[in-house]
Amino acid sequence: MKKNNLYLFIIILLFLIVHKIDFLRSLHDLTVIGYDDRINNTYGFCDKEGIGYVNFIKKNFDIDGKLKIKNSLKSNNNNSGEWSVYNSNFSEQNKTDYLIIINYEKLKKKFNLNNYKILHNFKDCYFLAIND
Amino acid sequence: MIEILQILLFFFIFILLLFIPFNIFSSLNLPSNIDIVEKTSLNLVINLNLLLFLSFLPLSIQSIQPIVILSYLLVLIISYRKNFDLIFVFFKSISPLFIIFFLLAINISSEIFLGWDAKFFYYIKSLFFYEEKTIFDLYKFEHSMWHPHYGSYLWGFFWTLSFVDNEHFGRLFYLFLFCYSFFAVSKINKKQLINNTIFLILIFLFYEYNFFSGLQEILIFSFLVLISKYFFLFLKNNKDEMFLLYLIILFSNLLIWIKSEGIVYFFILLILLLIQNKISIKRRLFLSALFISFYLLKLVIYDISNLENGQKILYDIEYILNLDFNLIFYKLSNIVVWFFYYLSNNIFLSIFIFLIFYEKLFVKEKNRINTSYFNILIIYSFFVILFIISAYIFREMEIEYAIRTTMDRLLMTASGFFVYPSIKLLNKKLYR
Repeated sequence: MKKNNLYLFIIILLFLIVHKIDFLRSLHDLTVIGYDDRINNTYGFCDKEGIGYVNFIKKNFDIDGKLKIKNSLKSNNNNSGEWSVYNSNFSEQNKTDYLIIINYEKLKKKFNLNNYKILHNFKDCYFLAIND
Repeated sequence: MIEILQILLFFFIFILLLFIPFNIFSSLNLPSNIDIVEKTSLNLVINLNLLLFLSFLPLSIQSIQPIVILSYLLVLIISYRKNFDLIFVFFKSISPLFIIFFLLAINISSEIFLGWDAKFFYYIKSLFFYEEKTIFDLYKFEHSMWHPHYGSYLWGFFWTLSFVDNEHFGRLFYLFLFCYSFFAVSKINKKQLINNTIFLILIFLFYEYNFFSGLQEILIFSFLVLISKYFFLFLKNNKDEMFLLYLIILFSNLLIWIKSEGIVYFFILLILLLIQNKISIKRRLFLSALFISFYLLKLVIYDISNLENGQKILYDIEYILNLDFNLIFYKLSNIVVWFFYYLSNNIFLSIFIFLIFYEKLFVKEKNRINTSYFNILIIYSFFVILFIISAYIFREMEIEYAIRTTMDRLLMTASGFFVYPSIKLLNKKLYR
């Protein structure tokens, strides 16, 4: 292959890679949309896994105990959101001190809000302290 | 914008690992017939093994990181004080690596979602390292027994280094290793332009975000890509054999610390080394002892840090002994069907198989690929297929679920060894 053709081929390849990874959208997201908003878009704020709400709570509250999350997604081990509240300072044996509920309306039968102290509420997402 | 700056900064931090401990422009410490890319590979693998060693210590990343960074910068300045002009030339030669790393890093930073295993295992482990814990704390995580810790340690190490406090910056190191491995193996032609074209083709064919969603397979894949190249050069006879042998040994050692199946590749590589006639019996014995010592070291380290091996649960001896013929046949039929399905979906395996058939059927014997290397590839394929079959037959899990959730990744990992021969064969056909 001639040198000029190779240059052309390299440029085409670069364009193909840029197209394959949707580079311009990625660049736009990275420069225009903040990290928290990208997390919200991916995992949901007060919906889906609810990681956006978890991050919001972590930023705005000084959580000094073990935190758990319950969302309304059909459980398949991959969407429980547990990874987002994991804290290496607390083991599985430690009792839960705080609870985040995503989409309470769908989980009404499982949780009675009267048993908890409501620390924050947004739509039907709750940040609760577990009463001793 | 700050994330883009962080990506640029991280590229230069990762590149630092290629420059130290040996001066890549000097022929004082390294054999003169070794090219610069192979010297960077040696530096990289030494640094990766050093980080592995640091991960065994009861010291948090935060406590050792400043010492590591400062000493690296110091060594860089001392070692390269007379070669700063050459560094600029080198940077020019690796500009394709930089461009691709930048493009893909932007993609990873915008996608950010984590894969299944990543959420369940690897992210949590990296969080331990990020939160100033050590290998000796990992036992507190109930799922820590399923996979080794090293991939998560690397994730945690570079996550901690990031001034933008986001976990995905730790994962960018996986991307760097992947890009570097493709860049290193694409150096097969005298013309740089052709090499760069090959590098871009490889990236275009292979890159998918999912591989970088925190899964560890991409690390084993990248190391196998490099090991395969050094096996070829080792068999070619025209390079410093010991140097290449060191590279193969050091990269192989990393495999056992990344994923459980890394042990299989580790021992397959040992077998491939042991069947080489050009290695003396004495050296083969030494290699066996060395590989077994590496493996025993892993058992000892995990025993000291109270980390159990979870694979014992998946592979129960009683279940294996009670397997009847009907069940084995049922499992085997599923394995074969899905194996061919995933084989056809894997770009490098498909290309490799096509080229091998082409080579056997249409190429004259004198023009064929190096016979010893060809045998290595066949023996590697045999052991990988044997591993896949036995892994699924002996696993106590519903077969279709087990296959559909893991086989594509298993084949992807294994295909790393075929990247170099595939491009070598293609290059031979196109530019003969």
